[in-house]
Amino acid sequence: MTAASDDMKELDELLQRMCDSCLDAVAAARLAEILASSKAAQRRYIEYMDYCIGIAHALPGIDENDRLLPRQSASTILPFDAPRYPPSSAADPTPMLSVAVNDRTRLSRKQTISIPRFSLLRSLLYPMTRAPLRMWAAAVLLLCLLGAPWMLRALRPVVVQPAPVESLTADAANLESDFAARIIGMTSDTTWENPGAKVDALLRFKTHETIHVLTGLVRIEFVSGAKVILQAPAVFTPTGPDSGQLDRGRLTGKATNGNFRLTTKAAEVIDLGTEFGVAVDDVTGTDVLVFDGEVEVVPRAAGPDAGRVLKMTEGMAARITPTGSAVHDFPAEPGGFSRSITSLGNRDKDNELSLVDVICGGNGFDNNLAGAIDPRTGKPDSGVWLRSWGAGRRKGAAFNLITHCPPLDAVFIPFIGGEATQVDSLGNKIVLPCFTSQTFGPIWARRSTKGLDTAGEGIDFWGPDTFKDVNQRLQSTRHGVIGLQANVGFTVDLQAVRMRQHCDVTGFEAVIALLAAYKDRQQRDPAKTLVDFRVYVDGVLRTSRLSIKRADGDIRVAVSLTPVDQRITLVSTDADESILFDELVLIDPILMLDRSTRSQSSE
Amino acid sequence: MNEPGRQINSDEFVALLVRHERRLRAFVATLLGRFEDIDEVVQNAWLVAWRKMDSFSCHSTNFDEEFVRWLCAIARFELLAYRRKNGPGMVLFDEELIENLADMRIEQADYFESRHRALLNCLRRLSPRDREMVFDRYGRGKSVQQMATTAGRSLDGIYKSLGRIRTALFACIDSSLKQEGC
Repeated sequence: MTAASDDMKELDELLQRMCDSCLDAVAAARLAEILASSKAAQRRYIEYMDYCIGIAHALPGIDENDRLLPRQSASTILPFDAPRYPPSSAADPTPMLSVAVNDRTRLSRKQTISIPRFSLLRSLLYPMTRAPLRMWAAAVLLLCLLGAPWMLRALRPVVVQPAPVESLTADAANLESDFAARIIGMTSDTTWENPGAKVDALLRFKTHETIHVLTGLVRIEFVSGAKVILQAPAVFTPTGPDSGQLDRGRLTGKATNGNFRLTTKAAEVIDLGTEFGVAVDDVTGTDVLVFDGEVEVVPRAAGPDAGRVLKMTEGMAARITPTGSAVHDFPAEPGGFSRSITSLGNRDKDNELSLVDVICGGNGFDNNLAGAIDPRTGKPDSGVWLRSWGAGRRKGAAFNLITHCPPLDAVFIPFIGGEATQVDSLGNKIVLPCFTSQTFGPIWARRSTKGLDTAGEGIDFWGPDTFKDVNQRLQSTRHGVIGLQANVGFTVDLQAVRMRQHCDVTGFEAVIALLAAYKDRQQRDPAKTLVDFRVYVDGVLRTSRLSIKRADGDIRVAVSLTPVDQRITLVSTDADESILFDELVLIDPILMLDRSTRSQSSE
Repeated sequence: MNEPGRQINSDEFVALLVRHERRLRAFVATLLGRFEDIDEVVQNAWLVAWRKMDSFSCHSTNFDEEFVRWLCAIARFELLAYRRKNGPGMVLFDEELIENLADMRIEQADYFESRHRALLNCLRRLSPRDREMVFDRYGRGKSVQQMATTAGRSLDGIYKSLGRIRTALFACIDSSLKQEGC
């Protein structure tokens, strides 16, 4: 036996002892000596460390008290609880924020002071982020309820010289879009004035399409990024990618980028980067309350304040009467404005992680209503957002890691001709027998929305006439459906789910069905509209349903998962020569969670 | 002049941290030479990375790999700072060896990632009893003493069983890599 092989044998023994945490000082010094003398020894050493860390990382941590390699440690949890405002550092730029300060004795004068933006706030908020979110939310809510009415009565807006509204720059207005806004949330008690009215599949609204809400709360996002909450009864019309008109009801607006413009009969409200509430009443006029930031209000009707610009900052309130007067002495009621909503129930305690919500950009429990991802870019598809045709036809294989939504790992369009396609961030590759490396449209998802039917006539962004059937299926779903046109797939990071939910993932379940509308198209041969569906775990095929046709109806798919499983991949491929009429849907696709592992860890 | 690279926002940052947590921990453990105190160094590295997030810019097509390299570079400095702060006794190796190990980890990242993928598959091939044992020790972090008491076996018996399983897993990993042509 050579000296080198003796060293390697000794090295293995030392490394075993290291992995078993029984390496004394003498042995440690010997280990360092061997490593310093040989590259091969260094490589072996790294292999051992990877082995120990790799196993520890392959399953969720259970025992919090006695662990060699703690997994649910503070550092592990940090990413999900990562504060928005961590302590500042020298490397952290602290842009200055100009804040208007007014007092009642000098209403006409505007003072400005400069404070470092975020740096102090970050330092203060950092420890707060360690507390449960709900606790802080409750505290903030309490403060709003107790303190805000007083503040709103105490402060009055500053009247400044008229300014041309048109001079405001509105980047969103320059965006080319077929749509202005979309519904992103609603409460379960929401009803609509025209039940059964057809809306776009992704709940998008074009300019001048009016929304009538009879009861409940509806959250709307504009192309510009501004978000508003409509409080029923309300009539609201998006008038552009960054503007809307409120004819009736209450609205709370939030635009981090500023320059959101709301029009009522009595006033024009220009959001300069803030949160505000607006209530419209035919008799009293338009009430404007500012919760945060700065707003400009311009009375529209001819009257004493016509054309004047009222600058309002946090805590101020004003009423613009139908005759064009600005009134400041009125009982402002900030508590009457809903500044957040719980969309379609709270599923925090649920043991079913909805993949519909994940595709919509959520964590599986956020109850998002609709969403889509472009398989060619891995982005929440701006094409889908902005264009009626969505992502359109996608040619050529693609693989994209997902960074906008932690449970989602990757999306891909497979290669053809036996070439392996990477399907996850671990580098696992699979070979798929698809005939074309092309798909149509995005990977999309939709929850059921009571009273809002999806328009399904003609050729839409996914398939011809398919949404008639999707709509029917949606009515009886618990979580919703995901659309996978042939030759596209996505991978979910099971480890991220375990870490985020602090529990184990025991299985995947879904019902799959081909909803192609070829039944109405005699020219299409049903035998040639076939789709394959496969489920892989860490690149290994776990189950498949091949040559699915519409007549097969609902097909249940289930895969059990173990603690060592890292990634689950769902992929559809064309089973014939083309992707025409290959609209496969996953109905109520879920990951099943075992939360008993969580209770074990907290005991 | 260089083209500006792709940067990351806070959501992407969190997603990337989660995805590559294992690699960062393995990197730190390798340089530290022990499993204790990994958390402290990793946590410091994350906080520094968070503060310097704006300075990260990816110029290659392999966004994830470049992020991991950037993160590991931060962790390397944090470990050296940790060594200076706590004394060389807290870190097993001298600075030269630390640098050598760090370089090897980065240069041969593909190889080590292949081994990890193989390990995951090999874990599935273990008998349920062996898998439970290895998870008890390295996943749930039970001490060998605890395992011996629970199983009613001797300490030596548990050590030998863990050694046997480790040998089998290493053989399985090596065999898998040979089949892949690595």
